[in-house]
Amino acid sequence: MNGVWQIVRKDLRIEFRSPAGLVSIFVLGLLVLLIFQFAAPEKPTPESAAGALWISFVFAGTLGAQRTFLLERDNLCLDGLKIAPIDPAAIFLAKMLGTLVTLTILQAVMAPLTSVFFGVVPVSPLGFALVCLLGNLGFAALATLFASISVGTRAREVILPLLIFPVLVPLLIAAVKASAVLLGGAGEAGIWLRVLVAFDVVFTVAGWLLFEHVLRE
Amino acid sequence: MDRFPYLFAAYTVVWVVLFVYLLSLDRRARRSERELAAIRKALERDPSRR
Amino acid sequence: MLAKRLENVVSLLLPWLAGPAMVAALYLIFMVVPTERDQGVVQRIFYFHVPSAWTAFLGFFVVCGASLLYLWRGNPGFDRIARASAEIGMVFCTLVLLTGPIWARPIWGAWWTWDPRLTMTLILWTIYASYLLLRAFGGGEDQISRYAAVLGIVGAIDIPLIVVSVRLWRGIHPAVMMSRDPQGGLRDPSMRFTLLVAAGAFLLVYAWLLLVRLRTLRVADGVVELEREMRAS
Repeated sequence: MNGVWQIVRKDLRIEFRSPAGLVSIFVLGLLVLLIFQFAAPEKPTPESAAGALWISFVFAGTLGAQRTFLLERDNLCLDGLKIAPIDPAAIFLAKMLGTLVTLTILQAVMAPLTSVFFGVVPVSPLGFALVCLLGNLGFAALATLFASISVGTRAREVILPLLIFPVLVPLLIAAVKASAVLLGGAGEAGIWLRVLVAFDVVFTVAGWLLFEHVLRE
Repeated sequence: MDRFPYLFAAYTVVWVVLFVYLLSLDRRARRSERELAAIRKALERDPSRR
Repeated sequence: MLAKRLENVVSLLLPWLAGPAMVAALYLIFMVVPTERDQGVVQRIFYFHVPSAWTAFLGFFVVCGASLLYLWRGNPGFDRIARASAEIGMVFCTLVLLTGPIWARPIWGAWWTWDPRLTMTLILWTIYASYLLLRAFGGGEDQISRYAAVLGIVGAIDIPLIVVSVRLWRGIHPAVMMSRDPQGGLRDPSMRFTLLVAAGAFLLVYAWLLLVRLRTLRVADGVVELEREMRAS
């Protein structure tokens, strides 16, 4: 497990040393949020705000998850990672954590922006942060597994969203519904939190177990 | 309701055609399997033809 | 070798089982079963729609099982089974999505509603569409098989989560759910019998298609293998 921390540190150092990648993720998220304004009803509701937040998160997040593996592909770094005396499951955890950190920073910018753009305020900031974190966790697990697959195929940029979006549907429904409730919408958030936790657990374990089959030569 | 037999007939035609098509697919798949096996055997008998 | 012989016997037998079963299902659906009182003739679509759905689900279940076995044992035969079953499952899933609206239009008055079952079937369709696209885009030979196996497993373990979230999403509409429920609508015992026979016929067609597709995939793999050997020598 000692390899996890090294890989996370290495990845984050690369990201922050040349922040063009990070910045492009933020700008994409912002753009989606902006475009959604023109598509949304004139009077924003907690539901449309939650929808916009998660749609922009998913688009920007897909780009972000792709990056960690695209960077490894250059200069055959991925092969180096495979030869390194590190458990594949640990590599998965490290990649997932790296994506989680990047996307948490993304959320920390996107959530206040959504709040300002849509004129909505979380009823319970702590609860809202929890929903964001749980949604982020499940997304990072799934996106990391699928990003590792997509870099090995011929059409990697095209295939990643095609892989992620269908499987992500349960998480997206739960995250949007829970966020809408916490932004002042009607309903009950508890049941959706349970769906989120179930998704997180299932796909973290699945990624942890299946990753070695993706990496194997 | 008096046109009901026509509905039945239409569906029957669809199924029969499908059945015949599947049968022919099955036969052709078998044939290519046999041909591949024959080529392999011929190559093993006479490796110089590779 | 035993599995090979078993497959040969079954594949010789299947056409002669599937053919009569198809005829029997047709006869029951159009000649024997009574017309449903509230829905009229349109209700007979159910005898194609519901067996298609069951067959599609079976197909996707086989994908998951074969994918697990492939990752575990590495036998390319399991990979071919997963691939063939995904393709055929998609065919039947498409049939479900096409026959459903044709029935829903006269009965519900709308081609499509976001009813939990419809939504779930559509999501399943997209998952296995991406599965087939992944295989179509390709990469290294063994590599793409492993990737597809991972997706086949991930897609299947996602199904319970989809079912739960989609039900909660629109709330459960008891009225709609009841009228959708095949068992709820089938009061006459001959209706249930017809549904079972139709399901049996679809199952046999699925098995037959699977064996034919497996044969062609095996030939294709054999050709690739032969080419590789010839290039090596």
